[in-house]
Amino acid sequence: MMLYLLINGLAFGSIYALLALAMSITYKSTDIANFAQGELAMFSTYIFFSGLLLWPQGFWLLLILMLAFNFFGGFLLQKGIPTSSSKVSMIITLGLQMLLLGCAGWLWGPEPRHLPLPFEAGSVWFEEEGLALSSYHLWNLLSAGLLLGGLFLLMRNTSLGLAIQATQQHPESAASLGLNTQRIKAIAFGLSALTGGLAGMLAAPLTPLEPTMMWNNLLMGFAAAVWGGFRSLKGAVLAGYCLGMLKNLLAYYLSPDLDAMLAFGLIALVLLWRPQGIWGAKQVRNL
Amino acid sequence: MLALFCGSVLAGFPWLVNAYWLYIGSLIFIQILIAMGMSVLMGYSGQISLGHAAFVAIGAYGTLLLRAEAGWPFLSALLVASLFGGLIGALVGRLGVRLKGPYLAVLTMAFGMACLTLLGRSDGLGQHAGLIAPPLKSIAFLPYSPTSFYLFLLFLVGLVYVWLSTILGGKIGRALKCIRDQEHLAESVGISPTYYKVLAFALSAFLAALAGGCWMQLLGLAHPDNFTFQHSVQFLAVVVLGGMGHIKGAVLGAALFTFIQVQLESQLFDGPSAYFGWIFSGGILILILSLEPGGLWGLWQKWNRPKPASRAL
Repeated sequence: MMLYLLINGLAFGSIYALLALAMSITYKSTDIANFAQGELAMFSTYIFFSGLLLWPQGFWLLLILMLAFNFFGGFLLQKGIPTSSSKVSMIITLGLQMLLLGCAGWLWGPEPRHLPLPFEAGSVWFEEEGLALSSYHLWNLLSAGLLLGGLFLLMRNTSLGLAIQATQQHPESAASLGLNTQRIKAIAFGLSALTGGLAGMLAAPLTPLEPTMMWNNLLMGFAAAVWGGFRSLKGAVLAGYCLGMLKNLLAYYLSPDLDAMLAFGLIALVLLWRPQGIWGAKQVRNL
Repeated sequence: MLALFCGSVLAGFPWLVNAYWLYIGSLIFIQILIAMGMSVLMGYSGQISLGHAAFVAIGAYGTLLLRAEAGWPFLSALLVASLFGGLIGALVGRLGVRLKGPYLAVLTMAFGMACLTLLGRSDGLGQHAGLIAPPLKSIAFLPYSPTSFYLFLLFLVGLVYVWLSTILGGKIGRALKCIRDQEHLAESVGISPTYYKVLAFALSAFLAALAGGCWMQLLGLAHPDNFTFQHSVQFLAVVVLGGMGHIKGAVLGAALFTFIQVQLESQLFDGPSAYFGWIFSGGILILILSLEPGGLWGLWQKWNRPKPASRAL
């Protein structure tokens, strides 16, 4: 039972981890907290869903297309958001969130949809008291793990990743070394949109595909990002997985709809006790 | 003189229009109350809140419960519920007083959503079905009718407007602006940022709760669907549309926003209509902030004299 709860929690956790990572990447590179992250994912999942309706056999190709679409969408988005003040940019992402939410409701309607997967959600491992680990859990954990692993390799071992890190740490010196920091910021935004987009895809079978599906997930993603320190990518991922398991234990032993309470409690505690997050380094700012 | 003229025209409004427009007018006054509070919070103290729907909910449920369970008259129930909302606002503001950047936004967003969960779970608050308000017999010595409620709201908005103009024109307003622009400088000349920031938060929460109590009475019910995260973002859009530098901007923004939103949601389209309100608010936030961050008030100022509009963010 415990094992089931933890693994199911990891499945939720990978959604939170992906979202938190996406937010941390944008925040670290551009100082913009992206409140539209969840709705960007929701919208692209809807587009993916419409694609699948037209061409049911092309799941894998459409998946790759959708991720590429997200990347370019994020790339263009960074160019479009004015960066004069990070507060203005943040409020603009809130506007984008409302806009996407309204458009999705208008185009696809409020009724929940079912996102078809190319495999049956059959039990693969063990079954106990009616609870089963399905192939869906496997798909969720594997794809999130693959993307996260790929991103970490990209960040650590390629020149692009190093350029992104340099831009995050000190944009001026990175620019003076000849890096095109504007383009690197846009690429970081694209990577973040791609990561968040996969989170939407993975969330869609867990919660039905509907315009408001990412409200709770976005909040949990923010909670994970704050817990991890908002500037620490590793911290965001670890916090996301921990939060997923915590949420699942709470849902089983107490009540299933305490997500927002858990998120608020956690955010308030972290901000009071350790504002730089569990794994974040303290920011020192000169006046 | 102009104010007197506007006031008398607005007071004569109920005898000129039908019940539908009277309802829209009342809705606009309620939105103005919230927007003035948000304007103090964002424009004057430079803070942000994505959880103001929760304070509106506190006012709505508080007034309703005090009337239904304790049998209080409407006005005292409204006042006590609003003060309670202000108190909770002070607590949240105190919690967030040191937070910079997106952290305050995230904290208040989580606060709003946690309160919404609480509303949906509590038996005493009617869970997801909400509560029905007991009918109102009289309001401030007048027998209750849509017209008297409208006049009451007009009076309330005028009162709050005069009160806010007075305190914002004085020491509190200057201290808040100083903290917004140069927090460390303010601290060094003996202005406590903590005190004034919490004060601004409590004030805006009080006004939101006041509006919540009136809104509940106008609708005749309190329902969790009226206090979602999207409502908090809409309050933000109202203030951004009007302009954050001055409470006149908030009044202007609230009137225009509510008018357009109601038209979008009720008349132009059929079908699931809240979506058009959302598209509208999202579009407002994006367009105004990209093109003219000062909002309508900033535009008006720019147009009247070539002095740069006051810095909003």
